[in-house]
Amino acid sequence: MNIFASDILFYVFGALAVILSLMVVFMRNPVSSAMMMALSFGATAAIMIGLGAHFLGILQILVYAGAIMVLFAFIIMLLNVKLETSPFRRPVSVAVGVIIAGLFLGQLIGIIYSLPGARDCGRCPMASAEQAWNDLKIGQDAPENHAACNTACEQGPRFSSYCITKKQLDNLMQPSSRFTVLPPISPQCSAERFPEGTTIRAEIDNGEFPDTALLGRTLFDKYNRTLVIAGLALLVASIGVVLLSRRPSGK
Amino acid sequence: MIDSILTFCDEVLSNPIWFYVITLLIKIVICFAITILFIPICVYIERRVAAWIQDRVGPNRAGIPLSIFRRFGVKSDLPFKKTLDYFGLPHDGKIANLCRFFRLDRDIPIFGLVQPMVDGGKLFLKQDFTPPFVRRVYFWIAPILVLAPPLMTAAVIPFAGDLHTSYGSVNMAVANLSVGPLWVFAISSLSVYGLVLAGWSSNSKFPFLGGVRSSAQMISYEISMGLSIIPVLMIYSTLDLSNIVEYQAANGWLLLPVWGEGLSWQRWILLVPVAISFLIFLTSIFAEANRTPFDMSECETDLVGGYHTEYSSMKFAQFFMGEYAAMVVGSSLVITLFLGGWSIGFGLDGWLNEHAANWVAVLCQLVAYVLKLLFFAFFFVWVRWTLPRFRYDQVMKLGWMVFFELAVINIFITAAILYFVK
Repeated sequence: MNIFASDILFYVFGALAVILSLMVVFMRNPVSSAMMMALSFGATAAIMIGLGAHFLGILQILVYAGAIMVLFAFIIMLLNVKLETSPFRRPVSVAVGVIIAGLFLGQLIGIIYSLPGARDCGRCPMASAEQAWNDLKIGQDAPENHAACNTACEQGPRFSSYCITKKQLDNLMQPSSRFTVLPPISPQCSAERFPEGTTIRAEIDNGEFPDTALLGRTLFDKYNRTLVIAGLALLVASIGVVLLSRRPSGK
Repeated sequence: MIDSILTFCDEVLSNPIWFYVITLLIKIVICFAITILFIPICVYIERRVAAWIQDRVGPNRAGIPLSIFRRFGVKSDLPFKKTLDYFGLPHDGKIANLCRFFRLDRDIPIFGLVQPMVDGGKLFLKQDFTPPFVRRVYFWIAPILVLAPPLMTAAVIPFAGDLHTSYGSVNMAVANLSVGPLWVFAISSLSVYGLVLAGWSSNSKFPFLGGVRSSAQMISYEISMGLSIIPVLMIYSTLDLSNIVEYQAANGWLLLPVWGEGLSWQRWILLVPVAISFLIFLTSIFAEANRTPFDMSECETDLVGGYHTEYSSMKFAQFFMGEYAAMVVGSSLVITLFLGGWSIGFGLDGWLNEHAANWVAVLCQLVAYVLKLLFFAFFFVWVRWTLPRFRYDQVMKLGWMVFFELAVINIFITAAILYFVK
């Protein structure tokens, strides 16, 4: 079995994120809850950075931990929210909480099961990746359901959520590289999608993962209309806040 | 014996992983040495320049006392006289008068450099008093949260050009992230937690007001700070700080495009939005570092001492170390984005790379970087003693009603110039 540093860190930060999120609920001091939430955002950002999405991870810290949670802390302190003392909770709010949590859990399970390779072994994507990895190591070919990707990129086999190139595979096969980091998603496979001469293509050919450029492309290309609508909604909301909070004039 | 050690070193360095680890450790040491050393240097510059601007002598009392040499006796024994006696010199001869002229008869002054050391020692030795009414855990964490973020952000800033060794090339930034400036913003935005928690955990009125003020101010200025560098990033079209500096070394600093491709029409017209960006960004750095004229969270006249009123000893000093470290990191980001980072400028980098050994070029670039940092340390003090402190409503108005709009308009101006002027 091959263990990569990024895999271990993934589980460490995943566990941290879960524990810290639980602490947000169980802490009795509201300021402590806010601090735990900021820390759990940090753990989530660490997972994203470990997966190669540097830009997204940094944004998570910049926007959520650095701005939104500061505002939260600001408001908690300004309103001087006291310690939570009463253990009594209304049954309606408990029921609503359980339903919302159940809905999110269902969505999460749905996403996990729709991941490529998740149903192959019925466990987790990581395990199926390991299975496919072992298949590769003993010289077998990649699983048939991934043949499409093979012919599409012709640079390397794809298994589970991993897609690596021949060169990376050769490097990984050497016993000395046990603790090198396996790139979770190799962009080389999708190099053809981007024409020669663009920034994204240049970065891919350089052997880098152009996560910032890819994210920008997806946002402003595929989801352009949604983005503009979201921006407009925010603008309307902020104008509304200004209107509502303004003192009535002439009095 | 020596041969075998050399072969061992060679083998270790030939392994790319070990080479990476060893060079990384060296880079971390250099990077932290620059940032940490600049804190006392900034304190020294602060006091010297303040004295110079106010036309007074400044910190020159502390020196190396003669009495540390046991032979010349303790202070009550008049060590100067005993020294003269020891060398067999008359008490009012020419040499003695010369020494008196240079004030060598008291302590040996070295340009007041002893003062920061003595200050540091004093802070370590003072009583560390924790008031009984504070929220203890947060009271202890807060100073750490102020000091740690600026030290972390220094990691992404390249402090010299690439060093080519026989084992491989070394990039002179501790972490060459592809999202350099954003990393700096993200981590330095966390330092506001330190101020807020210090204010809240002190559990008394003035620190609380200071903490609330600082959180509002920092969030306001983060926005204009982030928006103001978007035009700059549009011009570079990369977030990689190493590439940004290399581009400037080859094609002119962003604010001084007088060599390479910098002589084009586009770059000269772009100077207008770049100058606006520079102004907004520099001012926001002042606000983020809580420096006068933006030190709203600690202004003595209305808040006693602001968020650090209840702090003493080294915990108090940590807030100031954090402030100076934020100042150093902020100015290094200004240097990297607008003033060419480590590049010496005027096409000298290319000339050095051709005509001198690689390590000479890297050393010169390191010196150029440190000199630029020293200039900014001076600049911060200069502004402090030139401008009076703003009122709080003026700070908010400047951030939200002037800088925010100006930065947004600036983005559109830059886009138009980049699109129409070729």
